[in-house]
Amino acid sequence: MKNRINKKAILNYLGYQNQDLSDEFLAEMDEAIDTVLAAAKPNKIWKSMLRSELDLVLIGEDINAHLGNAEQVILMAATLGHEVDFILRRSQRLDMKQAVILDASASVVIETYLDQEEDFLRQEFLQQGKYLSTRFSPGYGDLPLSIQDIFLKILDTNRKIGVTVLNNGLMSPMKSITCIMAILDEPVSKATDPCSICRLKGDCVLRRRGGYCGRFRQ
Amino acid sequence: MGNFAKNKFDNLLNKDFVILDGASGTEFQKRGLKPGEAPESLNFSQPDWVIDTHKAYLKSGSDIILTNTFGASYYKLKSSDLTPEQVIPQAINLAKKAVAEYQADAKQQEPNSTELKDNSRSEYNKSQIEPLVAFDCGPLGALIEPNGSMSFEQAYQDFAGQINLAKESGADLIMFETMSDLYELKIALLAAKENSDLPIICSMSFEANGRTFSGTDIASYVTLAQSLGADVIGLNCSTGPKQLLPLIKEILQLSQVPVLLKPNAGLPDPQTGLYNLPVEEFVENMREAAKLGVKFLGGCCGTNSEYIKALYDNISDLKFNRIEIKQNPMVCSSTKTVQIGTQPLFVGEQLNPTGKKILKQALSDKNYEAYQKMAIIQEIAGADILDVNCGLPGIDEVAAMAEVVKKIQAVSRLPLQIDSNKPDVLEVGLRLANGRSIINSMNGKAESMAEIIPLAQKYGSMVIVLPLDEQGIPETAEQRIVILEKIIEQCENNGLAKENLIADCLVLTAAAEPTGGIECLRTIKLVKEKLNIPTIIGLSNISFGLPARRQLNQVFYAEALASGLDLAILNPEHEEIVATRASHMALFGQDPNQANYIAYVEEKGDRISDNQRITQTSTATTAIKTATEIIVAPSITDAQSLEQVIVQGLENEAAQLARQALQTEMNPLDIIQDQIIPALDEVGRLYQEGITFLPQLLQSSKAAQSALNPIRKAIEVQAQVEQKSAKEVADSKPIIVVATVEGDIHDIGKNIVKTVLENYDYTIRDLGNNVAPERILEAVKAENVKLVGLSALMTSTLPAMEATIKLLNPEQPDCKIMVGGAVLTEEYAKSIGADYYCQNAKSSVDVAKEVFRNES
Repeated sequence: MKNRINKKAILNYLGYQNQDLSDEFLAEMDEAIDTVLAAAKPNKIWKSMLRSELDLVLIGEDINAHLGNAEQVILMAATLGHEVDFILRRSQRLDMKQAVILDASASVVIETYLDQEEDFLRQEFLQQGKYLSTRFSPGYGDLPLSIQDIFLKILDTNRKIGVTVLNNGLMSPMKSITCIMAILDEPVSKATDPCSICRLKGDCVLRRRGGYCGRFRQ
Repeated sequence: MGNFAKNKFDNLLNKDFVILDGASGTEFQKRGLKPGEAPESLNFSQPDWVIDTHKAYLKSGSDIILTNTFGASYYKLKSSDLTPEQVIPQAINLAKKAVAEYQADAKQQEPNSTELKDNSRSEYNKSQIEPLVAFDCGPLGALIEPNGSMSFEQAYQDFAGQINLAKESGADLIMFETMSDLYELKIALLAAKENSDLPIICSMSFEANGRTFSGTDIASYVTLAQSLGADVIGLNCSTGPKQLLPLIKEILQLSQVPVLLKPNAGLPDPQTGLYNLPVEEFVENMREAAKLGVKFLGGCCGTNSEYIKALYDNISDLKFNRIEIKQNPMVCSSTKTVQIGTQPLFVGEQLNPTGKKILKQALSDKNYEAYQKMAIIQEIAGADILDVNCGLPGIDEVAAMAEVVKKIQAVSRLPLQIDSNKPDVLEVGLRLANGRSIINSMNGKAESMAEIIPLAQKYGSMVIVLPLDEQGIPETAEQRIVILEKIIEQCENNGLAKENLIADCLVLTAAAEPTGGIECLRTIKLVKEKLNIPTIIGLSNISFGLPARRQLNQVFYAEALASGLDLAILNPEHEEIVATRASHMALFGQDPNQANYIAYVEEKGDRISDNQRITQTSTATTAIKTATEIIVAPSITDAQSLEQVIVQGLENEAAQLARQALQTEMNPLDIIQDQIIPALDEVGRLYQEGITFLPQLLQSSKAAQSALNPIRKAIEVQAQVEQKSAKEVADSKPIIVVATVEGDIHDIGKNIVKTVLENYDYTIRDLGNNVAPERILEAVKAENVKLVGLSALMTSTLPAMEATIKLLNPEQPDCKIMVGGAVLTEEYAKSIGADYYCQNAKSSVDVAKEVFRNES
């Protein structure tokens, strides 16, 4: 997975705006990626389901627009596991600089892992003549975080990959992602513009700097 | 009732193998249970499904059936219209009804049924072993701190409530299953033991990589479950039997109690959701497990009565045979087990406030971060176990131990040794420790034994025993052995086996007791010869009162190892001690091919060259180096100012320049005001203007911190000269309370803010994450705090932020509130009543300056 990790994305999370980067810093970033990869026990689970079965999950306009006319969708959850949480917690006690770099790296590693798994799925479905939409997660647009609970129950993530929802829709392990994809007969013509549906639209620091949070695939 | 249940269970143990049931969840799904719907609701809506499922398993040969209560925790049922008070009695009644109906059917059919003739179940009825109903108890569905927000006490109450219901409804035994968090299992076992005397089967769910999702390994699991009195230990769910065989072998080697295996029928197909391991394969692997000595066998997800019937038939020709393996005693955390007596071990001694100002301060401030840092440093330095002591006059030591244990295990993996002379302090430590701990200590006085032995039994702990009694400390080794023998006898009479004891061989100060060293070494040898239990010493006592203590300690440690010492309480940050152990093991056959020794020397070489580098790296090892003061001072070539090196983030240079400035007899406070604060202002400006970014800001913080360390020491010395108390010095600094709001466990943002504010010499009271509004109010009131910083990461935790502000504002109108977090906006911050919105760490400094300018 290491080769696929986008260092620019890590820098984005750290608020990077083309400052000079020292060799020491780059080495530190490499070390952080290695640390995260060594601690990570990536795991995922997915299930294809009928859209009609998922009234409780597919709430709001944005997700339904994203799914287009799909009748079947994929629910997926992925995590890096508790060990990554542990090293993040621990690093914050010794060295905040290392901690923020580790945290940003871990965020990118989970995205990368999911990208990789998504690619496998895409290939698998392509063989059946099906196409997948991009990923859409609870919290994007008007899809509420409150569906996280039922989402995880449907996938039985607690038992299958050790992901639990805390109060307020947060997940533990922290570096976990849930997402929804449409299964379509035609390739997607136009992906949802990630920023157009964002709550922070118009008030986003990253946008003002000319970037974005990188939550969607480039 | 308990004894009756115990008898029924003991009868079952007389059988060669005990067959459990198979899946119920996947069976109910086949009948029409919808995805996401709670199977517990079927106890009311479809009781016949539940009874039929139980009966199918009984007919297939199950000796134990599990009630349909896997998700019947208070926490899980909260989101349904059911309660455990409804579900648990109902489910147990259904299971009992199934057993009664099955027995009635069997009785009726037995005399003339040809069908049942070749079903060897009929033998059971002859031997009058009736099938048992196990109360099935799954994970609560919430994670316990620090991974989640549920407290130990909340989890305990949930399990205790369920267990009481099960007991009252007549369950024959309790089965905890599919557990993946060892802490949760510990709490469950304590709740079961303290609320019933029903037999307990416990089963965790392991991944094929040998760990649970929360990182527990087999050895830690077995060590903990066994020490807390589980009657059966095993594995269920996760994957098929074949993948679990290597793990079950490990359990068989470690466990002294019967072992269980209840795996899935393979893994489900993601598209169909179906499990696809054929019955024949399942059974073949289960037969393998039975041959290895697994006594309790059953199936989990995807299995059905066909699997159980085949399993029953397939092992009916086997005789149970398990080879007992004697193991050295073990202690554990949730992820790490340490075997005692196999090789020399370090017990890190630094988590003890005696002689440590920073820990005393931590205890009186109730801010235990210093303990956390110290724990991490001791672990990285090579400690195998951490001794934890919170003794300080005038504090609530029980509350302190509770917090310290929780805090330490959030950042360290090591097993703990709970150190106190107060039984209530020991108890809270043993209870909250996530794993099996050591008690430090018990002695031969009647009072001590009366207090400690029950604690050791209840928590399954190991105990350090001191050979002293009402007559004091005996001088000779032989006299010490007599006391130890007395202690062992007293323990065994009270049901605490000798295997749980560790003998303290008593190091007396050489300067005061010329023969103390010799007698200690002789005691070590005699204990090994005569008592055959592990030995421990508190090393540094030997050199008390003498100069250059470390070399004396080193020599004594080497001699003690040669005498057969197992554990030593010492500071593993002392390099020569680590070297002594590595050398001893290499020389005396404890390090095959000297591989560890060679690795140690290579690593040490690396460390030396690291020290010589003028380093800007921020790895954990750098922090350790700072902590252990083994940094080689860098040479500053250019005429750089303290201000410049802080802006550039050069830690070692900053420390050195600060020391130089102190040598010129500059007033320490002036150095802060005239050099460090301007440097930090510049760092903040560069960050604000986008000339630097977050890691650079934090690197400069580190440099400022390393300059501040010697300066703060100087301020303390000055205060002592001027006879001001530490409290007066502390009082002169403004206090800021920071916290991540209730429900939110993401506190990296708050920690960044804290780091930056600390540089400006504010006193920060960090309340941590998931902090209830009331606790924040309490902290503000306690010290009349004028500024509070609240952080929330998610939209879903913003209401908790608002609730906190709504509570604080009317009660403490003088206290300003600043808020920050990824999803906050200025507008939103104002709308919930915050005084300030902080977009980043820099703006929190601006706010603090403004607030305290107005103050002074």
